[in-house]
Amino acid sequence: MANLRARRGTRCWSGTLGLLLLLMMTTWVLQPVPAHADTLSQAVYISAIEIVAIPSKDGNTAEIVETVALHNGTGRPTAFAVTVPQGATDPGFIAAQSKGWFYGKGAFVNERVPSGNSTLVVSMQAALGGQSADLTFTEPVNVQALFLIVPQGGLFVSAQGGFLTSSDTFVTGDVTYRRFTKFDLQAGVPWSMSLTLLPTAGGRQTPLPRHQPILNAYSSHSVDLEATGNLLLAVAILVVGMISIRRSGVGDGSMGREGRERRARLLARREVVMREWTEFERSHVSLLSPAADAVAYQTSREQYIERALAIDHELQALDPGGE
Amino acid sequence: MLVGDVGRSALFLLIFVVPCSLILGIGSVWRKSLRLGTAARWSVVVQFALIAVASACLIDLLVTLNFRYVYVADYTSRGLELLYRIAAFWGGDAGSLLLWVLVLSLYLLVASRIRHVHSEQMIPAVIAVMSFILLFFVLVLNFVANPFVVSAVAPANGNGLNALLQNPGMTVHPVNLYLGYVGFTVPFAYGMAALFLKKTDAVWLTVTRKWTLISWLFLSCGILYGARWSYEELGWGGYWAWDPIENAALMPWIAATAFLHSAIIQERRGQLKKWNIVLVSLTYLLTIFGTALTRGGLLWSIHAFANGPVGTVFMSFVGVMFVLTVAMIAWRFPSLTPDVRFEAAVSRETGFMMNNLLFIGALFAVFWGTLFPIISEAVTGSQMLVSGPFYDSVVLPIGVALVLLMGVGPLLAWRRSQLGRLGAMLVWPLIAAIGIGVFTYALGYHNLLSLVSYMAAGFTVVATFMEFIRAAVARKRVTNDPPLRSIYRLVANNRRRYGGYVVHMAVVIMVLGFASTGAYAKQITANMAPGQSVSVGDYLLTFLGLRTVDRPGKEELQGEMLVQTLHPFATLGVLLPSVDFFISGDQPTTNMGLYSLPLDDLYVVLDGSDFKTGQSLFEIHLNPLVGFIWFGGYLYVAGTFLSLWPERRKGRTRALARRGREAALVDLADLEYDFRMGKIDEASYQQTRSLLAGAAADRDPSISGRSRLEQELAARLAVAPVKGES
Repeated sequence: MANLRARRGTRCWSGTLGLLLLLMMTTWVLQPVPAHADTLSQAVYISAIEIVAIPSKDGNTAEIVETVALHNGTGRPTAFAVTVPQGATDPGFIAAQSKGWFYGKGAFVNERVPSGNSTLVVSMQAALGGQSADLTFTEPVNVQALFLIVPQGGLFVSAQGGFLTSSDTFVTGDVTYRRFTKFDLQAGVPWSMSLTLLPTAGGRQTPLPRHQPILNAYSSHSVDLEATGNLLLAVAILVVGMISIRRSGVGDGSMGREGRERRARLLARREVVMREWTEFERSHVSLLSPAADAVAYQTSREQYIERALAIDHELQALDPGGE
Repeated sequence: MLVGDVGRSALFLLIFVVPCSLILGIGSVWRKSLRLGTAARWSVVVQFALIAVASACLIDLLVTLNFRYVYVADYTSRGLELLYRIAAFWGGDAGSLLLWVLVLSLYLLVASRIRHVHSEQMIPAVIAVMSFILLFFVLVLNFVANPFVVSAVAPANGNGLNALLQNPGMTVHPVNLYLGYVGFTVPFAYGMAALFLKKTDAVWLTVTRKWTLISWLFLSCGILYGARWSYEELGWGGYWAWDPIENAALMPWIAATAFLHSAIIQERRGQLKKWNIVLVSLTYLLTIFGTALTRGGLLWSIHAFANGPVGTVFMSFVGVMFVLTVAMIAWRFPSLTPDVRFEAAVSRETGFMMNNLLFIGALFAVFWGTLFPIISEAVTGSQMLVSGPFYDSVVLPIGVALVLLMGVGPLLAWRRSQLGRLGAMLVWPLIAAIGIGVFTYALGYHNLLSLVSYMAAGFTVVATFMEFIRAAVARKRVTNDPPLRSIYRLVANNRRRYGGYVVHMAVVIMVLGFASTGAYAKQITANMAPGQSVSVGDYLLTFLGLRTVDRPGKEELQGEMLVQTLHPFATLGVLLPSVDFFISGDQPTTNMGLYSLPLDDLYVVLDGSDFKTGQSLFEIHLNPLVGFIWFGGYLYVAGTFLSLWPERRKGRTRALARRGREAALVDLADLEYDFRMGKIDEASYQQTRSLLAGAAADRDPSISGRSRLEQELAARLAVAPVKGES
């Protein structure tokens, strides 16, 4: 009998385990399979676009120079179009390694881009009316890398989703430039960025008095320290709280496994006695099934009370803190 | 992909495991089966393990920036600091729900493993109630807001965490709020279990008192961190705007504070049983309601960062829980009769009642003001917003009355206070209050509400201090201990009482901060060219110019402001309010320049700059006593810690056994305390003492074992036979 029960138990557990594994496999199978990103498969593609933006002295416009580096891998002259970013005005051709470019319908077009590498340099403007200008790029082919270069403290570049790499700075002459990089601009997918004019570009500055302390109460160091301290405080509350709750428990915590089991058995026995006694009392008061005479009733009643009291005393002895 | 799969599978398995816990819990209660109860306890361990695995998986995906997962792509990006990648866990709906579930399962695990002799029978019912609640969250996590959804194409970079959320407040504020919100599930579950099992004495309150205290402390910390975050980040110079989202956290706090106080009455005197069960239910329902407001976008808020279907689902859950709770209370209403009636109109019990009435008044006002836009839209078709002045005019006077009551309450005696003795004890606090009022008025502070607040604060500080001194002197008289030892022993032996007093003092200090900033804050707006100066209070501020600083992922535009004092003339240093421009394209955010002293905060915000003129617009605030709010907050934590500090093991039984003879002995101890503190005269003391001593003798277990059994029998006979009982 015991073996049968044990086998049933094992079967039940293995069945449960099997069901769990099946459910896990189902979730794996049901997950959507992501498609692979488009790869550089075109014969002609743009290996890089570099944009240099400088704010005008009056701050009304940003002067933009766009350099487009092309690669034609077909081995023969091929037609190609480079779109001008939306938001830019007055595009003008500056220089190109291949001749024959002309401007029309928002793009510079060339019917005979030579095989190999070539470049196209274009100038344009963006109005900074509300202190910022939005430019949207939609190239017909993949662009491996887009570089945006602005004078440090003059213009700021931001874009939805940010950039793949953090920006870097370099110095040319006495001007520091900041360069932002965007990799893998996908063909036909519009990508927008904003040029924001920084007030320091035109502001006059009074030299910072030397040896004056910075008063800001929240330096990055103190903020980190405070955040860490507050996190530790939360952990401390949790730990102290849980210990406090544990300490407020009575009986089982210090009773040990044997004591707990014994108490459980006593409680079960007590429950049985009380149920029997309740049943007995019910049957006694019921008119339909009169029980015994008064003496027998009193005797039985006393027996129930004695049995229950004995269990209560055992419980009390087991756990003096309890009632 | 493996990590995400494991997380998703763990969440999925919970759909089957949580109902098992629910069924086992109900089965254990129904069949009175210890084996089923043990099985329910173990199922809770499995629940927690699965949720912990899912949470660990999500953290791994966030830290490693696995943008294949929509949640990761939505809330992180390259360049985001590690701290904020982890904080992105609760940055969106799905992650914050997972955090909620994690905390709930942790609390359920702890609650199910800690055993109390008197409440052990309740634990399967507690597991059932909490598993029912957990099941709702698990279903939402799997079918409405799953953090492990995979996108078809992995983006090269994520959207990043909202710039406003990239603040240290993000690391502590939501976590504390959730630890608080979720914590109230435990006392609620115990309350429901007590109702179901018809065990409506004070045992469930005694068992859950520390749960309530911990949850209340976390919620308080969460609210304070939120206020500080708002003060530092939003740049409007304030810390509380009565915004719906702020109110959503305040409402359960008010209900919980009322519950903490009213629970004392039931524990001590067996009164307010109905009221306590209503309050604990209200507190719990308000936590869910608050989350629905935060997540649902039902109301406009500057703090609402999510606006998805989760809010609607939560609101439906509030409705279901409300109906179930009301039904349960109605079912067991007859068993919630008080053990004794109030004996006098002026007593500690009525003081607590008054406290509860005031809290409920404040709660109703905040609730009404928060929901009024929705109500007005339903009635008139357009949302009418309730602004700060409404709350200030209703809630602040209630707050002042509560501060006064904090002073009077401890002076009241249990059962019956003698007006003459109470009056005598109130003389010095009243003199102190009037003195403070005259003094502050003479200094030129004429704002009525703040003046009354200062007076109430003075009254309460003096009353509490005198109460403490009287207790220390009485103890010294009895024990002849040296003064310091006497004070130490007094506090160590009555941590609950004196922890409460420390919290009261902390609240008084915070009230001073609220009253001063509300009435006497100064604010000016100045359009300044480099070299120009402006004065605020005793400070002279000179704008030096702007500069930009490169930071990871952003450019910081700083306005340099030289700060000097006029009396005496001295240069203090440079404040650097700034604006952050984010590479990610998020809205620029302001960072205030803050010079904080114990008595005031100089708070400067760079609002904007004009490229052509070189002028910059600054908002300058001089906020008095703001530091009191933050200092009061830490003192508040210290006081609650004192109350919460674990008891020695040998003293455990006294904390729990509040029934029968033990309760009578506790009553005797209270009576002794009141007499020695001079709250009642000797005649009254002797009369009540003889009554209580008699009750204690009656309840001696050696005498009353038989009668107690007979009482239990009578109770069993009173209910209809249940299935399986025959």
